[in-house]
Amino acid sequence: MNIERIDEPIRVVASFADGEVRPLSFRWGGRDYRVERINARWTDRDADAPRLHFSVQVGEETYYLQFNTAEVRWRLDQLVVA
Amino acid sequence: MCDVSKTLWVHVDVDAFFASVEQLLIPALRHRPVIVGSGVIASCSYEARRFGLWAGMPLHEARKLCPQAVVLAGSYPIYRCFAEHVWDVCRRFTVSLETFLDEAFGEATGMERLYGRPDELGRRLQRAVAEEVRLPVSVGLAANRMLAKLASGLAKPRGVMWTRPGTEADLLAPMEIGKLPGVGPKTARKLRDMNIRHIGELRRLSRAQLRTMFGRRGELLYDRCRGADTQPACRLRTPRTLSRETTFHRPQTDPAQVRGMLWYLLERAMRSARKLRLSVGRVELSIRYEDWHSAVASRTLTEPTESDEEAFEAASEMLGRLHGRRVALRHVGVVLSRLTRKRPGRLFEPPAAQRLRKLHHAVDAIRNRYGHAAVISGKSIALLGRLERNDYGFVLRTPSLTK
Repeated sequence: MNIERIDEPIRVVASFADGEVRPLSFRWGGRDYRVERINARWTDRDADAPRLHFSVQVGEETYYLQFNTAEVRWRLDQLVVA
Repeated sequence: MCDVSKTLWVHVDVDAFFASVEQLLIPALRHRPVIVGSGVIASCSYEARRFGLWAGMPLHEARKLCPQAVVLAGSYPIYRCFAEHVWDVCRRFTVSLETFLDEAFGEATGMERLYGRPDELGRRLQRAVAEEVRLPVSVGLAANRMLAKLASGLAKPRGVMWTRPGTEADLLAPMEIGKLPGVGPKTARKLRDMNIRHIGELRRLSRAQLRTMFGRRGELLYDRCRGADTQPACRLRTPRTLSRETTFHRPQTDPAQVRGMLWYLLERAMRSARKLRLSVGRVELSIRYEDWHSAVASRTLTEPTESDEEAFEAASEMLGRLHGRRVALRHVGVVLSRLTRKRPGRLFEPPAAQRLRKLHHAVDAIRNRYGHAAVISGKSIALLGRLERNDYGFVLRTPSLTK
């Protein structure tokens, strides 16, 4: 298993409906990735504004996305290749 | 109809916590033996436990027993977020909750009116955690904290156990003596030498005999082996201690690295204290050498402080005293205690102290917004370039959480 820390800003298409955020797809390194499944979500309330984190599945790969609610920015934190 | 007048305590324990979170985050890990830890196992999945692995086992031994296990260093900030989510769910089922990293005690007296019999309450709590957080928990319910914890231990994994009033003695009697809170390995050995192997057998000794053997602790054991909890049913609002500790990636001889790490741990713990509006009255330092010898020292400060510098001065002086052997250090830790809500006197605060206090609050505000790593103090600059960083700060080998 290969875990790679990425820590890069990315563009994400997400749904903000019914009080819930759902990343649908994201663009990274000039390529589009369609989110097949959200494995888990967690919220970090330690900072001033909550940060929403998602583990999402794209094929065999697991990506950790982060949404900074204060800055309204997405980041790709980590990539896990099984 | 159940009797709702009796005190009811709930103990919730997340099963194989860190490993369960990793299996949730990474689907490829599900149904596989997973170990979280470095140096020793911090947590391992139940699939790994089938190979004889247990938390605390050195990793090199674990790898021999289960070479196919996936070993992860772990991400403690993520585990903290999941723990908070679990405790948020638990709060709906309790009137008060005292939380730790992977377990929580809650008082649920009267909640049966809402959720039915205690075991039904436990099952509903467990289901709610599974549905909302998707983590497995074991739940113990009983008339006191000690019995609730023992019950959740017996219910593991994914179980619910209610110790009905009047059955406490039956629950405790067959349990191995080491399971009784307050009986450590040394006490257990002493009792086994007296042919006392199970908790029920401890009841043969009178209060006076136990007091003679173990002092005040003997009296606690006398009560506990009868199912009476000696821990006050307090609702902790102020933590008793805040601690930070870590093991170096490799045994460390460089004084700049050791002091840098000490400052880093201390400023993290002090930041947590300031966040809780607490002043620190006592600083304890512990070190462990490469050959596993360890040393501990503590110092009471002249006045409770909020200042990193004052706490570090005490810790630094202790480090100079403790670290007397020419052997590398593998571990360093700090414990802040005598925490009070009392703010240090400000009326005659010297200008320099005032400036420092304002500086701490400004730096805390930056770190709260942009993460701890947004500001690296000069005193821990020796760690820069040596340790990886993320939003939460330096990536430590065995990161610990302040609690």
